[in-house]
Formats: sequence, C-alpha cells, structure tokens
Amino acid sequence: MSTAIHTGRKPKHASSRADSRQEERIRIRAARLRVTTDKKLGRQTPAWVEELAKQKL
Amino acid sequence: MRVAPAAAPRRAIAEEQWWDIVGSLGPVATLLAASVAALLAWRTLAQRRQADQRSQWWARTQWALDAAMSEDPARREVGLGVLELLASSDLAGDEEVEIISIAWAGPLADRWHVDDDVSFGHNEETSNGSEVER
Repeated sequence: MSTAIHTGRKPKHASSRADSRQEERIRIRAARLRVTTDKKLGRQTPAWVEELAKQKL
Repeated sequence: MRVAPAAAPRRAIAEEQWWDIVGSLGPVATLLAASVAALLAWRTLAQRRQADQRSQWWARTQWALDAAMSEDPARREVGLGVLELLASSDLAGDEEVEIISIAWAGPLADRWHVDDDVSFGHNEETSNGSEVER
C-alpha cells in the first residue's frame, strides 16, 4: 500500500507563470503611477508607459 | 443781541441724539466683533484640519512607499496602487509627488533594460511624438 504525500506545493511551471503575471501587474501599477505623477508635475509620459498603463490588471 | 432761549435745550437734544446713535451702534459693534472672532476661529480650525490631513496623508505615503519597495510582490502591487491614489490627492504638492515618483522607477527600470530601443540615458518617445530626455 503506497502512501501519497501532499506537500501542497503547486507545480513549478504554474508557480513561475503566476510570478510572471504578478510582475506584469506590478509594472502596470508602476506605469499608472508614472502617468499620474507626470500629469501632476506637467511632464510628458513616454508612449510605451501610457500603453502599459492602459492594460488590464 | 439776546440769545434765543430755545438754543440750550436744542443743544441738549443734539447731544442726546449723539449718544443715541453711539448706543444704537453697540449691538452692531458686538455683532461685528463676534463675526471677526468667528471668522478667525474658523480659519484656525480649517488650517489645523488641513495640517492634520497632510500629516495623515504623509503617514499613508510612508506606508505605501515602504510597501512599494517591499520584496513581497503582492505587497509591492498594493503599495503602488495606494501611491497612485495618494499622488492624485490635492494634498500632494510638487515635492511630495517627486518623492512618490521614486516608487515607479524600480519596476519600470526592468522594462527599460528589456526593450532594446528604450534604455536609461536615451530619449523616450511620448504619445504625441515628442521626446522626453531622462
């Protein structure tokens, strides 16, 4: 009779995908913050930052 | 020439009228003084309230900056989101917004390194076609 050990860990590839998604969400938040601060300071925001800020979380 | 007998009572009546005028202004002066006092008190209260709000705003900003610099990705995301809200507040002056700007530099720096055409020290193209010098 075999005993299965459940560690509760997710598969490695699923974990790295989640990490990558989390990093992307952080970049989007950072881009939104930059758009807000640039607007407040009267500075121009680079186009790629504006595009990133428009992405869904 | 003889002084008319009615002159003295007329002066007395004139003095009485002067006192009457001053006496009638008493309540107006009291009301004016009370209004000025109330205005000054209101201004002091408004200034204190704004100082309190700025103090609380700064405390939240410190927490959010700390969270945005955290190693924990979930905490970083929350910190950046809160900073965005705090930066859009009327309580944030130019200097405070400059401080908050530090938070986006880290996460967006990764992107600058990834993109071949955009990196530190180079001009960045803006949405309206002009370039931003970093």
